[in-house]
Amino acid sequence: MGEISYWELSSSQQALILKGLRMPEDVAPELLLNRLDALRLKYNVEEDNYIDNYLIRAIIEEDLERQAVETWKLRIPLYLENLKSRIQSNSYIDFINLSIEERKAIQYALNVRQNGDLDEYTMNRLDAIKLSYNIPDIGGHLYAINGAAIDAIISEYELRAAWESDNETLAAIIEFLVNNNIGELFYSAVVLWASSIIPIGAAYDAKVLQDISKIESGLSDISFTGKIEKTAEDLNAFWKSKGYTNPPYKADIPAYQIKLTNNYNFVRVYDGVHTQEAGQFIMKLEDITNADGSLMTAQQIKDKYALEFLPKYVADADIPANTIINCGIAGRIDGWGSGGGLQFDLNSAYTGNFTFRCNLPN
Amino acid sequence: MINYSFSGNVLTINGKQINFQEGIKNVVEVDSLVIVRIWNSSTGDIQKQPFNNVYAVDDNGNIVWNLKDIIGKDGLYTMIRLDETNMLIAVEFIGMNYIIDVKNKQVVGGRAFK
Repeated sequence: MGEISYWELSSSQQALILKGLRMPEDVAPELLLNRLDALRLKYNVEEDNYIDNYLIRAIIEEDLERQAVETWKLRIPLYLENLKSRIQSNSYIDFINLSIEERKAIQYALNVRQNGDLDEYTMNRLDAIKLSYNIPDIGGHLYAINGAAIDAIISEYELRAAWESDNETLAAIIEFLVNNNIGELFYSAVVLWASSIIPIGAAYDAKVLQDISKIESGLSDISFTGKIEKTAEDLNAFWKSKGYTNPPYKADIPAYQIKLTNNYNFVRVYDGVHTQEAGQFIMKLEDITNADGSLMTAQQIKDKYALEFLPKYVADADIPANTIINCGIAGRIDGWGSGGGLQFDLNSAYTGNFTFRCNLPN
Repeated sequence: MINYSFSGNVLTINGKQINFQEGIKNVVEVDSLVIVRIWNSSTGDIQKQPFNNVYAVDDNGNIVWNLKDIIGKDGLYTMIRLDETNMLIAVEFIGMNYIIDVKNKQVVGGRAFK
């Protein structure tokens, strides 16, 4: 095969090359030429402006490499299961004697960078697996994989796969960090930090259930009809349109809209400067009351409802039957409070009977 | 400094009396105007409160504007005050704290609070 200018190719041939390069058909010519030059450099193709069989081969190799990356996660369990059956007949295999794919599959399961090397991170994780699964050392083969070890690794893989399925965004961030060689220590620190801020995996599920249960329990003594499940995002968007710069409701859990069928006596806290006796956001008295019957302190309430200003007073808020109200969990707002309190609002209705109740303790 | 006093529904300003439909709840003086907020203090029922309940009165005792003229929509104001820069702050029932430049009759900012 000789050589030909890209521009002399038929449109279907050009499309095929662009597909191989994963570039859109309307790509700017200079981007395409840059990409071809980069491939020539990577695959040691002689520098010229033509398409030849060497460049075509480079494009194919590049595409195959990408396909391998894209299907890698699907192949990991196959490598691990295959390794398990091999180990059953060999009793153990040293990590360094495994195929590169098997080593990378183990590294994926152990949540370290998948480079195939027996590096310090991989060694540390293999040591940790042996400790946590009580797997004895094999004399002279510190990093050998035996039947117990591959079972433990497969368990770790299943945990990681399940976690990634439940936490797609965080998993994508981690994958980005790994693929860009940002380093295990850094991304471990990021994950540790994130998990200290937000519940992750099973802890997240438990927290959501706890929040839903808090709402259900809070509604149990209120007579209402027409309960509609909303999202916190719906309510937050609604209040944003009313001038609330920070979202009042905790995201990612349900919120509800109900229509009261009887009057209900809520309360409201306010500072008398930025917020007043009469207003939209209310709560149940029991939710600002301690177990001994005393009121929570102003600071505790500020934190529980993520209020910008320290409240000073409590008002009774008698909300009449037929009022449509919203309820959900107060969201955390950095610098204001951690939220978590069961919160109601009047859905912007001009209603309610508000009267001063008492001062709040400091 | 405007010479004024108020009692019940009546604002007396330089000897002239102005009768409002409800009791005067609070008053601030800014830019040669007396800003009056009226409120039905006999009840906490929001539906029995007067809407558009903030007025500006000049030193001749003339009502020169209602806050609705500046905000551009109906509102029920639960407090008025001046901030440290002498801007009028009007707290509306929905939660907005409007910041109003009285001199130029303009809303210059605002934010809602829970």
